[in-house]
Amino acid sequence: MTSAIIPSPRRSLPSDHPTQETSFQALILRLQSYWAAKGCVILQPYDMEVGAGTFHWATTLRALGPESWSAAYVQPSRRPGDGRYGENPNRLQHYYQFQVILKPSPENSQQLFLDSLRELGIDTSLHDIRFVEDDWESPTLGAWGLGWEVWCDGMEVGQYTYFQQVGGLECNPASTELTYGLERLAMYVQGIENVYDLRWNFEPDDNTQDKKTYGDIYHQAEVEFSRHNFELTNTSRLLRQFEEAELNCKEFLEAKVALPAYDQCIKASHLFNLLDARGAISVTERQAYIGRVRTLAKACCEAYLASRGHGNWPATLELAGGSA
Amino acid sequence: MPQFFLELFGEEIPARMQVKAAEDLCRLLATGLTEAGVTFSHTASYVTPRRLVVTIDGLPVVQSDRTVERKGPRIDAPPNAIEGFLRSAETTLDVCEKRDIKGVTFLFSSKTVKGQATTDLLAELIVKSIREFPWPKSMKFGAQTQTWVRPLHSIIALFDNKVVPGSIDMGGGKSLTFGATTWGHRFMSPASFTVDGFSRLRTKASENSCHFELARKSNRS
Repeated sequence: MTSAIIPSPRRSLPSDHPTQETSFQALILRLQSYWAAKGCVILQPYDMEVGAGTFHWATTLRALGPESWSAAYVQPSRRPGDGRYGENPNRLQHYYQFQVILKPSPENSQQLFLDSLRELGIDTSLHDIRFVEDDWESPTLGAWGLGWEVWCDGMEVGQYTYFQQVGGLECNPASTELTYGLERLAMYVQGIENVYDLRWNFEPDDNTQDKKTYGDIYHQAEVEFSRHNFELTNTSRLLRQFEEAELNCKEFLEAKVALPAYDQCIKASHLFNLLDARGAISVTERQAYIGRVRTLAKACCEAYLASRGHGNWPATLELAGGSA
Repeated sequence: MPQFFLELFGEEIPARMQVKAAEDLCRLLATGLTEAGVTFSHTASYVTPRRLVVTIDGLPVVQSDRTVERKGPRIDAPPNAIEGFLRSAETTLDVCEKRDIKGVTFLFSSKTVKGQATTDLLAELIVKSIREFPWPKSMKFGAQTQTWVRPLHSIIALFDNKVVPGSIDMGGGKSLTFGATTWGHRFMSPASFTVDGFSRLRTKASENSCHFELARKSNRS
């Protein structure tokens, strides 16, 4: 998925639509209304610490089975190892992804994505939009798909993937996952070089609001969580918590409750990331930990599929002809 | 002599795979024609990010009649083995050739198969080439079961300036019917247009900001 590395824009975006609002929150609102109009359920973030929007149950679990499902949401994403104490203008340990999942993949998947860029004020006839091969794989989720990075004037503005497998299980039908790195996209649209300077709630000529930048809202958290991630967490407690989460997950799986089990799997995954950021895991141990999380994820996916199958696929779509 | 022209149009093909894909498509079709005993003068393949194009020139309108030979059991084989062979080869013992191979006599049947209309043969070869296509990586799209490198959207197949009647079943209720319509550049000229042959496609595509790159050209004479 879109990484937390945010390259600085090569050049600012000419104002294709000078009247359009480009604040961080306006971009989110526009993406939400665009995808709502395309028939997506607008969800709220998963209330667990995750590394990417893909880990939300609305993507991982709902990509499985024959039921139709379209959803869009913002997902705060945490990558403990990417913290830079608030000093790097392009790198954050907590950032936002805008995530869309469309199942089954609509015929016009690519067009929908391009239209959403136009919706954000990027005129595709004025900019060099390019699709760069970028196949996706998540070792912890046992998932893979083929897809693209989408570049605008040489910078990545989004990514999309045609999911083929999740939790080691075939996706039938296959779904389309679209991900926008919101900070990166906003920096590009606003023509800003430092993520902390992003306009969160105001337009350049706006004098009516209490103006807040991204830095006003998140700089302190980046400094404090960088200390937390690299210096303060207690590794033996984290290890214990990892093992407890793993144990909880297995117990909930035995009780055949897939969703609570999945919460615990995600918790274990984040605890692994925290341990990793602390340098508490050796290269050889790493694979073993990833394998343990993958085992949990796979079992959760199987349990979810079984629970939905038992309910006779409540939301199965007539697949003949597909849908847009 | 008539020309065959095929365009497979879809989502972008990853850059590193484009040229080889056009060559592979050309090779699969040419091999299929040769195996069917159909001759042609030359082939060419072209590629743009969203399309693979193959032209095959100098094709006959009808495939020649062919003689298909089949080797049967030894002449001294048990009667039911011989009967089985005669039944499956739809022939009789007296018309079978008895041929000596290293001192043993075997039965051989031979049958004349009427040549197919080239356009029908081409329709079969298009489907076969798509099914057997050697992509380094491929995917399923939506409910479809046929895999391809990325979503495949449409197919132009023209023989002697007429649409090759046929279609490919992609699975999941989706099939692509061969036609004569394609699209220009995604951003510069997104409208669709219809063509009646390769030269027309090339001109129209060029007018619509799409320039064809020649992947390979070969002459067979």
